Parts: sequence; structure tokens; C-alpha cells
Amino acid sequence: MKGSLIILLFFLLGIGCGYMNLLPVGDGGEDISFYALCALLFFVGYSIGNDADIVTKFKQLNPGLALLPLMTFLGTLSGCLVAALILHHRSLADCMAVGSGFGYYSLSSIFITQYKGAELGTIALVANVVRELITLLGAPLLVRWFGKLAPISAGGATTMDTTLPIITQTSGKELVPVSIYHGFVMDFSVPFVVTFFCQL
Amino acid sequence: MLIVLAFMFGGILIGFLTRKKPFRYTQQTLAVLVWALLFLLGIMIGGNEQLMKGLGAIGLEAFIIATLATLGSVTAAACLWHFVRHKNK
Repeated sequence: MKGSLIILLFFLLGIGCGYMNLLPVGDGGEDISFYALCALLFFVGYSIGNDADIVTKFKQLNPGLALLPLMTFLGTLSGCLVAALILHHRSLADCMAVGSGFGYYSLSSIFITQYKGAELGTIALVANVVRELITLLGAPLLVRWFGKLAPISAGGATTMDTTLPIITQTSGKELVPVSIYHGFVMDFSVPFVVTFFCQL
Repeated sequence: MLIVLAFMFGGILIGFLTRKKPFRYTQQTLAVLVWALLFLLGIMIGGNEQLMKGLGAIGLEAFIIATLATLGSVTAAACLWHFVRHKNK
């Protein structure tokens, strides 16, 4: 919990600095993020390589875990169905298009802006950033309440890069292959699924 | 995306080769890098006018969709976790 609060603090500090333009990184921000991400993943890999028992842990993984992307997909769409019932002015297809960004905010918001206009595109952007934030900030709680697969499912398409470090820390190193596999499948499906719901 | 994964596999290789003499501060380094990334994400969101304006008007809708979508997926994940653990016993 303390870990999440520190992360939240840094995030809020960043928003403050960005809003008041204290640190004008501009477009360079994405580059710096990319390098930080590379460094982060290097150390995630390093901690896996360092662990002598890791191969045994991988072998004990249940093959049923291959179904996780399907569970994420079905669970997300059920959630969107409930959201569509609450938000009367939004159609079911619109809610599902936003939801099926699976945290991949850059790509899904671009697609949705193109097919459905800037308003729904912005909703998709914010909604998918929020999803990533829920995963990054709430991972310890998600593990406690919903089990070790929950942060992976919540992370959606981001579980092979941005949310992988937090998943390593909260779900355990042995689930890293599941997380990468899950991220890869979700990532790949985003353009198809989003396009599909936009055209309904 | 592939470059990022290449860094991870490079890390695995180097971690494996140096496992006899491991670098001790891996967890601390990871924590600091996570903070840095979230700080940078914050800067990019804070500096994006369109997004900051949207946070008020459209934010609630986005928040509802995101929360319910996440809740649905973690519930499904909990079912699978329950099933997998049950089978292992």
C-alpha cells in the first residue's frame, strides 16, 4: 500500500509539473519515457535471469493460464455492457469500442477519433489511461482481492511493457511469461476489436 | 515494442551470466525507475491541454467505463485463478 501511495505521489507531482509547464520536456518526454522503460525492462529481465529457481517455477505453470486473454476480453466486454446501461446516451458499441482499447490508449484513441470523432476518442484516451493507472496503483490490492492473475488482466495490452514491472513485484516472477503472452495477444487484438466495434 | 523486449531478454541473459555475483540493488533500481516513469506519464498528461480539459467534462464517463471494464476483467481473472488453483491441489 505504501508503495502505491509513493507511486501516486510521483504521478500527481508529474501532472502538476506538466500542467504548470515547470519541466518543459515537450515531445522529448516520450523519448525519455522510452529509455526509462528500456532500463526498467532490462532490470526486470535481470532479476529473472538471476533467479536460479525460475525454470522450475515456469514448469509448474498451469496450461489453463493460456485462457487468460480470453477471460480479460470477456470480462472487459461484460463491464462495458454494465457501463452502457448506466450511460444512457452512449450506445453499447461505443462503450465496447472504448473498453476494448485494453489500456492501449495511444492506438485506441487514434482509431476511435478517426471512426467516431474527437469526443469519443478523448473518452477512449482518458478511459485507457485510467485503466493503466488502476493497474499501476492498485496492483497490490487487486492481488489481495482477486488473486495473482488480476493485475495481468487489468493491465490488458500493457502487460508486456509498462505494467510488467509492477506485475513482477505483486504477482511474482513466475507469472512474467503469462504477463508477456497476455500483453502480446491483447496488443495484437486491439486494432481489430476496436475497428469492429466502431463499425457496428 | 520489439526493442523494449530485446532489452528484457538482454537483461535475462546478463542476469543469468552474473547470477553467482548478483547486483544487489535490483529491487531498489526497479522502484526508482517505476517512479520516474509515472512522473513522466504525469508530465505528459498534465501538459496535454486537450486531455486536461477532457478530464473534467468527459472524465466521469471515461472513469465509469474504465472502472467497470477493469472490474469485469479482474473478476474473470479471479474465476480462472480459482479454477487453476483448484486443479493443482
